[in-house]
Amino acid sequence: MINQIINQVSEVPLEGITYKKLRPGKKPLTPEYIPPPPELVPAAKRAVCIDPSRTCMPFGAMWATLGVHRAIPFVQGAQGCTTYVRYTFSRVFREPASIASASFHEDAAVFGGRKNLVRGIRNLVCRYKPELIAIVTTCSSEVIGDDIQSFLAEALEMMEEEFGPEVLDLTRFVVVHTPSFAGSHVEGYNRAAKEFLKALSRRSGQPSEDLYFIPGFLMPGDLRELKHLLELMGVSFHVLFDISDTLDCPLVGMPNRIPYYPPGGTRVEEFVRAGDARAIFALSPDAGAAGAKWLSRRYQVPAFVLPMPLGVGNTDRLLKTVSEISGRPIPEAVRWERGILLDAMADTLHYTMMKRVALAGDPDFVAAATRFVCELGMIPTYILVGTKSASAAEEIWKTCEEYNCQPVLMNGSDQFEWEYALKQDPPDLILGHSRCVNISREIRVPLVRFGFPVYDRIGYQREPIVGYRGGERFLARIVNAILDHHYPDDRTHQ
Amino acid sequence: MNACGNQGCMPWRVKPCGQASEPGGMTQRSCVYFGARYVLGPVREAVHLVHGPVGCTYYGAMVRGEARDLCGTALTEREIVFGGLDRLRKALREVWSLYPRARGAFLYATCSSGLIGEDLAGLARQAEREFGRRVVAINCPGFAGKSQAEGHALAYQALLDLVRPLPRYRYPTVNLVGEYNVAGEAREIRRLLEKLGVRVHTVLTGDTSWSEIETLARAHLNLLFCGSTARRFVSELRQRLGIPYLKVSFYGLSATGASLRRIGEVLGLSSTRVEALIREEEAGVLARIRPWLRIFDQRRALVVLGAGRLGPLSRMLRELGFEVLGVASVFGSPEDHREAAPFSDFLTDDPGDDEFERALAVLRPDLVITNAREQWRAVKLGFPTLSFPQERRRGPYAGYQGFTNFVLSLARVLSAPVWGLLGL
Ligand code: SF4
Ligand code: SF4
Repeated sequence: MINQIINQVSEVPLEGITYKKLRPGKKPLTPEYIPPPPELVPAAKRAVCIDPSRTCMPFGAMWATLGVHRAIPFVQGAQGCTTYVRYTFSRVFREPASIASASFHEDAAVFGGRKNLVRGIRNLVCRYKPELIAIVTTCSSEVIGDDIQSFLAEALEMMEEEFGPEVLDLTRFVVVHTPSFAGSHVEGYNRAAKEFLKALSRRSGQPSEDLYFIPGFLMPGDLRELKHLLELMGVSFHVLFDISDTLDCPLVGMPNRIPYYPPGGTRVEEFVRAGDARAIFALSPDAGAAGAKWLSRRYQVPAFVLPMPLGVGNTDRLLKTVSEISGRPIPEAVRWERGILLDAMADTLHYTMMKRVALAGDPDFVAAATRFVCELGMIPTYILVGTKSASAAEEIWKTCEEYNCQPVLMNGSDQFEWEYALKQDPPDLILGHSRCVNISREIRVPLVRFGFPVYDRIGYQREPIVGYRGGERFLARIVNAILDHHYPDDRTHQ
Repeated sequence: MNACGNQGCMPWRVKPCGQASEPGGMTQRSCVYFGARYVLGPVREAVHLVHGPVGCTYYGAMVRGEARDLCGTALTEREIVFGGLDRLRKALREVWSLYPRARGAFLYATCSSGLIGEDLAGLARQAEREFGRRVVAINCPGFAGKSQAEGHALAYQALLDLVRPLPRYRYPTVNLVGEYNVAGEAREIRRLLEKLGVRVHTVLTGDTSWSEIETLARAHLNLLFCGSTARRFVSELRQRLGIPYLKVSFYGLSATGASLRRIGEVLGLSSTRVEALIREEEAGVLARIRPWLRIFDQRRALVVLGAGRLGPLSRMLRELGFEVLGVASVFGSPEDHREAAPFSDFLTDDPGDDEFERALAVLRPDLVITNAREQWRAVKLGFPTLSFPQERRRGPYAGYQGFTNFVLSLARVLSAPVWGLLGL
């Protein structure tokens, strides 16, 4: 009955690109396009940054914090730095993200953020009862030169006076300094990884067999896939900053207790025991390695900084390392999954081989994806690494040497430069985030979305791209994009 | 919880509007720069240049969920220490050759540039002399106000300086001011006005360009949609250039009809023509929405939205048979609260996340209307939720066709089977 009525009611038609206009083979570029003067194309030669493919440092620290159980980031800055980030989380994950702001106004700009921090921490503790608060600084508080440690000490003192000493046991604190003018969200995550371990981890003297993992900006689906592999390996492990059950949670209705906290997240206790770990792995060299290295320096826990386990080679590398350090053989079930991925690659090689592909995104994603597309026989052409990264560059060049290709690497550039290159020399396929939609439309080249951020398609945060099974899903995404584009209306193509 | 200032008996501590947010209260408010971008983001023929670190540029490119061109100076530590004006000057020179068609530029200040004391206005004047193109500096560091509202005001102030005195058009023409063209709403409003023989010169700022703003004095009348952002702008225009303005609303049948009649009176249109249009359109809408009215009857709604939409939206809900349990603004003005007051006895400003959740727990509304950024909290707790600004695919909500869309959106939200499947 209801469906009938819906069908009868016609809505105001929407504008959009019609199927006809989407057909390939039409002349690219809009008629009003004026090419830029060539000397202004490279971002390094410009003062102006157009369409950056990176965002600000506090964002990374907030991401990490939201992967901790009952943890709230407290952003020491004006309200925009928080609200924009809440918006970004809400768009990517479609989940509530509780992030508090110090609400800087004129007085804070003049006198500093002492009052804001002291009052803010108190309000947060007494209204939300978090287990952990990460104080995340911003450009403003860093320019003003807020002395966070002394503010925090004052806040604790005041709270003890007001509520009694028990209040001090309620909440742990971590301070992360993230002035955005000194790095991007990738570096923000990196710093958070280090500061969390520095503030929380201890060594009890009783070494454990546990393996620790710092995932970087892996999505909930990826984290689940990672855990699945480690379970098959039969090792005991902890994933730090585990957003899988904080930013992808079931709808259950009104909880017994409000404020609502998502059920998951890494426990503070897990951070505390990190000093006893058998080994620590950073699965994103640029987002998290600082934490792993610090732990190894402080407590001599062996640290392994590996490329993101995306594709055959990278996943092999992770599993071999895990197998070596834990002394457990790689089980048959894992080999089975690997075989399925290889089977899928062989099945589809006619679609992927020699296809030219451009990539854009965060360094760890792009470096790992470059290796995967090379494994598929594709040829990377223009690679945009949104945040300048030496480790990503090294990994990309190593891959390219192995597979004998010579892409143009734009390390730390903006999308303007990369898109200009694509307009001159369109690839067959683009691998990038949602902000690559415009160029994909303009040059009529299909876009396969991956990495951060994907907000204009549904379910990408749940669908893994790491591990063998994730690789198989990612491959399917790539091949289907090619099929949709090159055979859009070919009903006979079976 | 009394120690925190919350009153246990009330779902929200009832706050008057216009107060600064409490630190750590999880406000939904944003910064002044955000407000400036909200208003100026869609202006065409202009270069938008942010003087600040890369983050503000990255985020500011999204305005009401749509990507807008935005450049930035991407300040680094060096410029924070030694000053960034040289970089900004160089950036300005570059954008003129990168965007040769642009008529002028908007320069946005941010927290960082504000704190290191960069004189954007001075630089803008200098650059105008040097390049012969308008450069308008907006002094909108994020901390320079309690919320985005101050940014809206600054943006309109900047636009005011562009407007030139000009003779009026010969045919009846209006500007739509404070209309942000969410999901194409301006198109529906334009359609109705054109049916009455009224032309629309420009839509501020949902569908406008630099040159349209410069020449907006050619219109006979400004139609004011969102009073909280643009009232000062239109009253200044009335004072300076003698363009009258009229507060209108195209949300809901009664408001749309009343607004069309007022516009007809002011522009001296034939009232039979106006009445005929209203009759025809209303009949069409009523026929289409009738089947749904039954499921709206006596349903209880909770509204948490920015500012200007509160009153019109509550009225629309009432018209459809809803009961409005409570209304909260995020950064409302007294005018917004006055507009919304007749529809709900429960009115407050700037709720934190915990207060929002408590309101849900206590009031148990059948429908939650809130902004896109915060909608998932209500969804997660199992409440049917409609978000604003709506995405493009849901279509405009203004005017008659928009009203149909709105009803359909509500019907989808309320009759979705998922809410009935919650228990196992
Ligand atoms: S730094 Fe300031 S201007 Fe930029 S988003 Fe944050 S609050 Fe707004
Ligand atoms: S770049 Fe700095 S000021 Fe801008 S949003 Fe990020 S932290 Fe805030």
